Amino acid sequence: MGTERTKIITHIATARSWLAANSRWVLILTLILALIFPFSVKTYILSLGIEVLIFAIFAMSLDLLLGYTGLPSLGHAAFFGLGAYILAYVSSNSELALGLTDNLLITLPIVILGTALSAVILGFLALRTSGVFFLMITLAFAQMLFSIAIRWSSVTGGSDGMTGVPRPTLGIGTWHLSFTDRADFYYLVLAFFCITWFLLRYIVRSPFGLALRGIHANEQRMRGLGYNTFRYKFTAFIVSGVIAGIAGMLLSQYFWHAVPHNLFWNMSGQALIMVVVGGPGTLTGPVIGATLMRLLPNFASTYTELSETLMGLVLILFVLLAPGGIFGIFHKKR
Amino acid sequence: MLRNALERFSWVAFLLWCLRIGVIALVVWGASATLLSGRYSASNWISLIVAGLAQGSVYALIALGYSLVYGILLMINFAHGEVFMAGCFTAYFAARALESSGYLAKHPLLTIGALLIVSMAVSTIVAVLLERLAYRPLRNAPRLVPLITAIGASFVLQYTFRGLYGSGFSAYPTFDILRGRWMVAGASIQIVQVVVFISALLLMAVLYWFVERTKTGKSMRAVSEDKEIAALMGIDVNRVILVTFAIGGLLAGAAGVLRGLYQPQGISAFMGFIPGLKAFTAAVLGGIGNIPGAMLGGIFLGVFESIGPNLVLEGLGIPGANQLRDAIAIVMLVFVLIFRPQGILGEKLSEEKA
Repeated sequence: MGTERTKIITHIATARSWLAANSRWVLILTLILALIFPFSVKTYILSLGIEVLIFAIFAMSLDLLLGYTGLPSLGHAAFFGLGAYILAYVSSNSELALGLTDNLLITLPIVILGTALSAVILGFLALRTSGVFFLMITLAFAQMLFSIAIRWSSVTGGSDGMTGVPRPTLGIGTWHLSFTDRADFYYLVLAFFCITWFLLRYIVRSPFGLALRGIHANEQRMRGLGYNTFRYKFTAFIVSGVIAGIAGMLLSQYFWHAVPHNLFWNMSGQALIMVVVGGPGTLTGPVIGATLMRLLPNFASTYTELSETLMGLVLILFVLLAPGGIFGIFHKKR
Repeated sequence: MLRNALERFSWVAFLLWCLRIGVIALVVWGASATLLSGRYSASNWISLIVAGLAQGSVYALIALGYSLVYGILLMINFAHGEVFMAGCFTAYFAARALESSGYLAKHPLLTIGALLIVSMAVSTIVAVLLERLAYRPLRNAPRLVPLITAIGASFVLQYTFRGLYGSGFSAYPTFDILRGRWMVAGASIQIVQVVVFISALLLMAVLYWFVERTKTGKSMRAVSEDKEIAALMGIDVNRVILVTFAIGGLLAGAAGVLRGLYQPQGISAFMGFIPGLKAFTAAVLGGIGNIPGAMLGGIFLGVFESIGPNLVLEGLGIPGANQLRDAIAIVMLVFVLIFRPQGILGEKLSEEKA
């Protein structure tokens, strides 16, 4: 047993140093693989890939709060679902919605504004508290939106949600791009994923991101150093909410509808599991977590309950045994 | 003087005060509009309040589980709603079996006793397992870590029970002896609501006696003061924590059966989440960690939830007010957490406890 263990540890250490030395090549290789992905796989796997990317965006946005700033939000589905519903309201052709346009140049700013506004309201209230109370307020907010979405059926479509959401287009004047086809939509999601990844990487490496990590480590000391910590947390909350909203928008476009389940606490819980299992406080971690957690239901698809039970068990095991997540096993934290 | 006030002026505080005053004004305005319109008579209000007392006493029993655990570990057992669900859902099957065998019609009181035993046993087992497997290994970890395992445990419990018992909604059988109504001062009151309220009060009295008068209760109070000193005094801290979780489970299991008696519908694997959230609200409302506070908070929340839609929301002219019952509790949770996290009865929380 003992020698086995040391062997595994040395293997992991080798993998670790190899990854650290070649991280750029790994990144480029991953990107190339992601680009040729639609040509090489069946539609079923392609749709799985789209889902994984959308949930990776969602999980990364939560990680900015949970992993970097240390704010345990259990209401992130609020923004995810709001993004979906706002887009559906603007572009769906059902009689409940406005059905204005499916042009991303118009719908995207509306989604960003709407989710940012709700993040301002929730952040202003919730960030007065911390720890468990923050978790409960965010959960309560999402749950309130969920019950509105279910009950106020004359506006939201009730438990059926809003149907008839079109895949987006992109156009100015006569120049026009359509993403109706699954493979085209995959590239759009991939583009959003890359933008989010680089934006978040820029944010967490900037002085602002360092301040967020400082708040995670010791908020009182940061305050003592003269940082207005509320302002930092508030900004991070809004950025994170907007990115989650964009992920929700993409999901509703992909599945042609916005449903109340997008707002349910189960969704927030799944995002949290993705972050914690993948590796909180990193950007690769949530992506790994999202991949794993979206693939899990497919392996256990004959027992639908089993996959969710497994999800919870995996979460508990990782918290108990590997608090750095999967990424933390292969990557030494600096 | 004015200049001084202007210098200290902050937009954040101003907005928060506006919010506070706005909410109070809305409540007062809605309530007075309804009362002045005379839409409901006194007997209507009495029935609503009794219904609220029954509902609230169930919340109080669940809230005690949150409060007891918080008092000792300074930790929220997020999966406590699922503990409640586990007992209630399992007892449902016992109730069905006893009903089809005809035992329920012959000995209704014994049946209720049997249901209580089944439900309390299952809830206690689940609560103790939770503590042993998900929380004890993390006792010295940062405060947020056990909360995350609790979310995982919630997932596991909900979906395991859905897998075990199916995903549909079921209903408890009805008991003929509890079916009638009493007329009190012109108001008709369901007997079952009175029975639920009184049984819950009895349970709470037993709990209070246990914590205040027995040796185990004394050691529970000692551990909640200071774990290390209590250990030095020869108290088995692990045992006391286990007992605390077990008591929380017992009360939640009893709450499950009582809920099944007065509100038979809507039994499912997901039935624990919303009552859990509301009971948490109740616990915070009364001052979390405070045992009488949790009782009063639960009863207050139940009554307010019962009369609130008719009293406040209809006065404000909101249609379909009765469907917004859940929203009242949630809004209350948000406002209590922001403006008065120490609760109505709670002492000022120190930085360490908050």
